[in-house]
Amino acid sequence: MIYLDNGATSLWKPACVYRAVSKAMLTCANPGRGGYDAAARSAEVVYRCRERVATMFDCEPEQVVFTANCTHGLNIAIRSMVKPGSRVVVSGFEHNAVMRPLYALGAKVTVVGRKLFDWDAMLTEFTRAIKQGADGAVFTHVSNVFGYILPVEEMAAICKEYGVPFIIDAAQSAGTIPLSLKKLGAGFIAMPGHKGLLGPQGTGILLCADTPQPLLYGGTGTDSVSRDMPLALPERLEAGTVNVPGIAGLGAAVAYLAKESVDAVARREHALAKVCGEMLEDMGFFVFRGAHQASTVSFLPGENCEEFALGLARQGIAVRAGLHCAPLAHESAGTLETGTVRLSFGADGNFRQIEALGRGILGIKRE
Amino acid sequence: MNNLWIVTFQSVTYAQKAQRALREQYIDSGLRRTPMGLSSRGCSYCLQLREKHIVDAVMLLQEKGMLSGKVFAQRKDGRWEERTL
Repeated sequence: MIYLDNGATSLWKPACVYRAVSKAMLTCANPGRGGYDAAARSAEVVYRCRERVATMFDCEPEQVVFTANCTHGLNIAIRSMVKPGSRVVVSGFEHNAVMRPLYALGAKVTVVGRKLFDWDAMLTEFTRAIKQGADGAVFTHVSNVFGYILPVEEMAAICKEYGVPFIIDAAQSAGTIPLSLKKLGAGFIAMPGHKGLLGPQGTGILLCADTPQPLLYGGTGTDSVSRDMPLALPERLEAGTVNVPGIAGLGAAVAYLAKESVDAVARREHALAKVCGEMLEDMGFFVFRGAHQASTVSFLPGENCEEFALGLARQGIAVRAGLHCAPLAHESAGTLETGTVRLSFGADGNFRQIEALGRGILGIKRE
Repeated sequence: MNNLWIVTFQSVTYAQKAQRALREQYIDSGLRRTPMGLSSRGCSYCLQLREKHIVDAVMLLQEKGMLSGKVFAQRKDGRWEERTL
């Protein structure tokens, strides 16, 4: 199979991830609960992962909260920052993981920067909206549909200048573009563990600089007589037993990425996306390409995008078609009616995948 | 003289962080559950230390802003006694 759906999840993982998951399942009890060896070992595995994540994202280990996925983290962050009626500024490329919680809370949402790959327009509109008065901002680092890398450092600086708290959705950038919680000054950064970070599915991370409100209430192994959740992070947000095998795998993956260097992975993936986009254009497709593009490319196949993706799937090529759970992004790009076919490269990406894709598309055309 | 001492923490994560900080200064400690009754907040974790390390350990944790709990020494009868250093 040629797997080009890393925007949904990375399928290839380093061998150390499988080993770590397996070892944790065999040897780890409940962390932060008992005092015996298997519980202590489990707590050590979890804390080691926190340390590695903290090093990668420039924060303290206790600011690293493990979640079930990026959506889970975003829900915690948004519910902590946004109250009913809050004025919230978002980019025109947000995923439903951002938009649905905002709508559910009754936030007054202002959408800015709907022009693809245009940083000037984004920053002008974003600044204007923040100046007009905002209680918060939420923006994605990279569009999951188009691979558009937003100017998050500049947007963060604008928020800080006007004292507006903000959340970054790093679903598509964590593990492939360096990020610093300290430097950005975000209240929260949410990310999945299973995409660019190469960990197992069912893992996510919420980096917390601000004090969050728990989404789940329950046992934490400490502060047991209190009727409320502990104030201290990460326990405040980690009610119940955490996903120790997943976290063990994630810890191994983050250690692998630290050795490989996030920059090197990013350069390779971005180069592949660029070459792939050029090939698709040469084949006559409309491709959404531009400056500030990560490892994801969307294009219009000139026919029903789901049928086109099915044609590729029949040839063993895995891509994602449709609206990618981001109708706002498609509305911004004018593709809400048609959807797009999305190709997203991963850490195992190579030029042979692009050649195979080209052959697959020619195969569909012959059909 | 007492032999064993413990320093309590608000969570296992903070205890682990403190243990790492002590280890960097070659101070050995053991992570364990806090004996019942020593914490007014129910279950918690602590670091167990040898008496020869306790002063250095507490000073280091204070310097780093990691000392959020209490310090106890074990008496000869096995009971724990809160201490101020």
